[in-house]
Amino acid sequence: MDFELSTEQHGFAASIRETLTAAGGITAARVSAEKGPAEVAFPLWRVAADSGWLSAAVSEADGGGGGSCLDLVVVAEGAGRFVLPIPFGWHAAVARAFAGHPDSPAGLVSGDVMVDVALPMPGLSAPEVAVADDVVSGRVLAAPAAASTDLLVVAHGDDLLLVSTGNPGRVQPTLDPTRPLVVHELTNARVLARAPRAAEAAVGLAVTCAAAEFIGAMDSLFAVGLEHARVREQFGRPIGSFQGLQHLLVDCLLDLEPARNMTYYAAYALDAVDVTADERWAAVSGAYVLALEALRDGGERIVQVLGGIGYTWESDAHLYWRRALGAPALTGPAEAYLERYARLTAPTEPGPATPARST
Amino acid sequence: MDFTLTTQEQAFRDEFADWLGNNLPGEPPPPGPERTAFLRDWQRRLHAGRWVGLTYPEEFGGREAGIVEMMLFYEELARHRAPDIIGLVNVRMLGPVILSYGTEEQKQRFLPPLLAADELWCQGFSEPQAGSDLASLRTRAVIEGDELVITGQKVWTTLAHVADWCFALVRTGTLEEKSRGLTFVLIPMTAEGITVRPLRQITGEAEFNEVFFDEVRVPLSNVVGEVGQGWQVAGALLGHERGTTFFGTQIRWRRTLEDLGSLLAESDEQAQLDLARLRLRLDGMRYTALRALSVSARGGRPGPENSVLKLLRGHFEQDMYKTAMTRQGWRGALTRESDDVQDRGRWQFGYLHSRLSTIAAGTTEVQYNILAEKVLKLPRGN
Repeated sequence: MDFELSTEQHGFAASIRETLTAAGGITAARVSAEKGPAEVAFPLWRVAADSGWLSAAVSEADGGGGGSCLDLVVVAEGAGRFVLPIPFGWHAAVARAFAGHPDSPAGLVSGDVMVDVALPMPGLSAPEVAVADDVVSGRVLAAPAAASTDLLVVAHGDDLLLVSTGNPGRVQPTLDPTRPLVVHELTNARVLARAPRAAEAAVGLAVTCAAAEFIGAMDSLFAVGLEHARVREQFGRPIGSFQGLQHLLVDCLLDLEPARNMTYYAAYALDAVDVTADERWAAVSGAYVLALEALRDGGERIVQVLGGIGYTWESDAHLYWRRALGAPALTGPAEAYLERYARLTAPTEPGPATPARST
Repeated sequence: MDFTLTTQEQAFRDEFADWLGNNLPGEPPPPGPERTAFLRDWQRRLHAGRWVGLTYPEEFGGREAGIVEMMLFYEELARHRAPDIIGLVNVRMLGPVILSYGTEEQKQRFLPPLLAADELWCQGFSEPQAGSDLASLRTRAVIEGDELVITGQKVWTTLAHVADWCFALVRTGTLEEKSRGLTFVLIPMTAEGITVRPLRQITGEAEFNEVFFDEVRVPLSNVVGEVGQGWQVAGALLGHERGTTFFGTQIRWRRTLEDLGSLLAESDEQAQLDLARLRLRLDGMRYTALRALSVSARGGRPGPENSVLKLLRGHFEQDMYKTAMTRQGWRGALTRESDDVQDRGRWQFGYLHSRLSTIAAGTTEVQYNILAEKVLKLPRGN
């Protein structure tokens, strides 16, 4: 019975932080906000690929790091700390889905080959694609790679198809400047490879990575708010000594801790053999709700703590916060996940009444 | 990360589950002397099976159980719908204090009967003028020869009307000395000068009391630790118990949520979502508790998890019962004596009773202040 990260995982988290700090830290998100993610995403993608992050949860035999989903989620949390402007979880999920697949392009697992990805996330409109004779037509909203490419992974039923689109997609910005959407209009786009029955697992992994990124982003955002509360003085004392503000900040912690721990459990559940599919999906869905809301509501509070400064574009606070604001378009709205969680965890029959005083 | 139990832990759980299967006491009678006797018997039976004071040294019938075993204990107890022991403060508060600070004589005299519920204890800490600010308590104790003479008033004293003994914090020093002027003392409830008055609560029931001390004389040998060391003594905890009761509580709450589900129409989607959100909060708390437990099991010091949990539990319990109240519509306004009341009024009782969960053992607001200062390292407020 040990529900704690291993020493190796803690070490992993530390080294990710070091690597990304050296790569410029939050500056990349700042540049994304000014000029779009494509300006900075390529070198960061290189860092992620070379460090083996994108293929961390792919078996060694298939050219990956041989780690668990939890290992990958530790990386995702680290990426979230700097709101890394690359679609980390999507590529990691695709790498796993196509790993060892004979038709998939060499370099997809490692990240040397980049793809746009459209996964059937809860609450997002399903891609309107028609598949016939190994060609695909239709309109697909996808998460772009470092910049949109002419390769697209799209779900068809429970299969994942890798298709050649001919062109990059058209960018649709979201409230999160590090995470735009792209639109691909496909007309008889050729299917290059197919990963059968891989969509659901890919969604599970990408969603859990997204939850971990929210946690990481909230950790950083929280630190920004706490630091401000400690040093900013008004009425002759640090504003963090005022109870009203203290309680606002404690509420951030009360949301963050359960979200973090549930996310770790979801990551564990993705690999665990003694967890049913329903339990796994309930954990993933629940973690997503808690984590997204911890960042969304935490962001509201931290902006408040920062006061006027928090309301400026110049403040970094909104860069972190926006990860939660853009998420509904990328990974789906929290409400859709709560509905899913509700269905999966509903008791099959009402429990027997307990004595009136057992409270 | 690994959820498997060791062979020893598994054996522990199986043994307890087997034992419970053969020894379940049935449903406790309603509040009153019969209930007290029933619960005393239950603790006696648990103790005879060596299921009380599990973290205690073997010398006192304990098993030196680890934190994972404590979790399993509370889970099994809840799973079997068995009541918790009546002598909660006996085993979880006073026992650890005596083990850490008591003399050999005090250990031999007090530990066996407190574990077996042959003697019931009540906790005399809170006072009318000292609630959250416990260190400012005023019940005076003056040393006269080899006796302490105690005068003052305690309040919120659970079980005082049936308890044989009271362990209390009393002021032997000055009020200005705050926590440094306190002494931890054991007082027989039969001593001359003690008056117990039941305190009727917001629920209409009386599980608490006021206790008045009028020149009550107690031998100095009843002091645990040194005179003036009371604050430190009262803080003694037996490492492995802490926080594990929650693993039982969450099972009972999960069951309460299932019962709550029967108040809701399946077609009412919003109600189903409200209920799901409560389940989700319970999940979040459970994994947070597991994290704290795992850190302790590795011999580390848990982070903020336990303080966070205390607050989350308070909010959760209140929200759960509030949901039940609103979902009952007009019936939620009926008392248990009413013909049309649902579930014998348990939701109304729970709603009122759960006010306690953000007041008892340190109000939510004080907990927020402590978390802000100790965990978030924010500057101290005024």
